[in-house]
Parts: sequence; C-alpha cells; structure tokens
Amino acid sequence: MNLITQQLHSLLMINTGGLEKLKLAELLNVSTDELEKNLTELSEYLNKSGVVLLQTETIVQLAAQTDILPKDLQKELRSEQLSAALLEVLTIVAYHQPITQLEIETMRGIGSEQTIKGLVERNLIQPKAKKIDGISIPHYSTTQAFLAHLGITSLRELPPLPKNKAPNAAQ
Amino acid sequence: MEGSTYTVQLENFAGPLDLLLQLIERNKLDICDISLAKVTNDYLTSIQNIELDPATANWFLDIASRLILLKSRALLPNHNQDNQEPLEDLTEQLQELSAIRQAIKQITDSAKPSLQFAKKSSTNTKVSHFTNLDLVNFTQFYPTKQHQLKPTTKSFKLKRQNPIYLRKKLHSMWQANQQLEIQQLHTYCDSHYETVVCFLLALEMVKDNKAKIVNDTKGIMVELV
Repeated sequence: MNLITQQLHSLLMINTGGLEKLKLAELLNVSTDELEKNLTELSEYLNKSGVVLLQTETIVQLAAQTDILPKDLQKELRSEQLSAALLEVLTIVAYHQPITQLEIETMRGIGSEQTIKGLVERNLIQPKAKKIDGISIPHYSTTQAFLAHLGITSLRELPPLPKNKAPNAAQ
Repeated sequence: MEGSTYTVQLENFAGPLDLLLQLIERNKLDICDISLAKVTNDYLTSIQNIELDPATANWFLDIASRLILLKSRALLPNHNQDNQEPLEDLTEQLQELSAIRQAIKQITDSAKPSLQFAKKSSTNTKVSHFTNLDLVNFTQFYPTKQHQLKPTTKSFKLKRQNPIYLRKKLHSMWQANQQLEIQQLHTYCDSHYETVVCFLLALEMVKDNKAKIVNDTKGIMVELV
C-alpha cells in the first residue's frame, strides 16, 4: 500500500464521520484522479478486513461489516425495518436524486411531507437547497447512512431501475 | 373486471396510483390507456367505499378525473384527441411507480446486513468527576430559597414550548459569558421551567460534544467547545 493510501486510511480512522473528497485531496496534496486511484487501492486493501469504504459522490467514510459478527450481536446491530411508505420514498430518492418533494409526490401520487420528514430525521436522506428560477427549493439526496442501512458501499451497487416494465402481460 | 364491486381497505394501498396498479394487476392488464379506461369503474367504486381525509382526497379525485377523461375518449373515439398530455402523464406515472416497486423488491430480496459507523467517543476527560451526576442530585446546585423563583405553573410538567427559542437563548448566554456556571443558571432564566430546560439542553450539548463541563475555581462550568 503506498504512502498516500496509508495516509488516507489514517485520516478516515481519525475522522469517523467521513471526509469530503475535495478536502482529502487538499490535505494529501493530490489531484482528485489520484485520490480516486488511492481510494480504490484502500478499498481493495480493506476488502478482506471487517471494514469497508463507503463512498457517496462527495464523501468517503469507513464503516464496519456486521455480517461477520456473532449472530446475537448482528441482531442487536440490525438496522430499523422501514415501513412501505418510507421505503418507497427512499427508493425514489435513491434513483432520482437530487429530487424535490413535489417530484416525489407526483411519482407516488400522494402527499409525502411526513414521510420525507421521517427519512430526514433518520438521516437517510438530506435536503440541499438549489435555486430554480431564483427560488431556493430543497432537493433531497441519500446519505452515507443510507448506504450503511442497505449494506452497500456506493450507489453503483444498487440494482438498475427496471424500465417500462408492466406488472402483468396484457390480456 | 368492470362493474365488479368489492370493498378495498385503505391500509391496503398507499395512494391512488397504488390502487390503480393493484386494479391493473388484479385484472391482469398492461399499463396503457385502454387498461386504465377499463378499470375506471372499479377505481371509482373503490374510492366511494373508503373514508378519505381532506389531505388525501384531492390526490384520489385528481386521478379519478383523469380516468373519467380517459374512459370518455375510449367511448367517443372520434373526439378530438389532440390533448393527450394528461393521459400520457398518468401512464408514465404508473410505469415509473411500477419500476420503483420492482426496484424495492430487488433491493429487499438481495438485502445485505447493514454496515455500522464508529461511535463518537467523548473527549471530555474533565467530566470524570461528574459521571455520577444525575438529576436527583441537581437540587444541591439549585439556589437557596431566597433566590428561588416562583413556579409559573402549579404542576411542573416539561412541555415542548418553543425549545428553539430556549436553545437560542442558551447560545446567546454563552456568547455573552463564555462559560455558564451551573449553580447560577437560574439567574439567566425567567422561570423554573426555563432553568431546567436550559440545564437539560446544556447536558444534551455536552453529550453531542458541542459543550464541555469544566471544574473551575468558581464552580461547575459549562463551556462551548
């Protein structure tokens, strides 16, 4: 493992809440491309340990695998079962982020304010203001906690969204 | 099947699009305009049999009106079909929702155990003297009778009254004083209620590592990190 990758590992151990990729590149005095290469190297190094590297578009964070722990501990650490409504809104955000509340409600055909609020409180999605025609509107995206909840390390591991598939064949 | 009547429980579907998808699936149809026209009667019957609160009723009625328009066009094929937008929107909405439902199924079927982040550890080493500090012992820090404020209410209940205001008040106290002495907290507050809530807010900030407890010569102080 090269020095930059080792330094990456140390920084992520110290900053347990994760670090922005731009900040990491700045701290280590490397370009973003070089950072990505070192992140890949670190990820491969960690593959056989009990720790994985979580990556969103902008943030990197270390997380522990729970499936290798004793069963009773796994049960204790199991994440909350989400209701159908929470899961539906979360999936819509995961595949269509960043997305506004109105767009979510249009897709679901029902009001979703409380459900969105519930997901924000659980830190599974987060709002970020974006200006449209001069008006600041919150757009929702998934968080690292969302990745951890699903047990995946990046959004690329999500299954592809089925396209134009009907639930049943026509009669 | 058109004309069939049955009772649909509200908890069985999450909204009008969900109901439509269920009706289409039940009738083994494809998501297209003709199918939507066919299930219009079933949809209208379903929403008549359930109690809708005002917040959700408009969503169901919107879909109902679009379905009726669809059905009327199916019945009057020579009618001007130029304005197809509301119908294409509905078909597209259903297809998108159906895709999301299938994605949810794929995700839950291939569910992996969740990952865990490192827990934040407290860096307040000076707190060690106060690990046994609990609210029962809080009274020893409470002022003597002559300094006590009269209670604002007869029964002391912590109500969720404007916690944001109290949090801002606590912050402004800190900005003015750098440190807050626990025993003198009541001097900054207007009532019993405010004093206890500010104390609890201060403890919450210590727990979140936004403040720390310091044992000063003046007494027990809470200062912002």
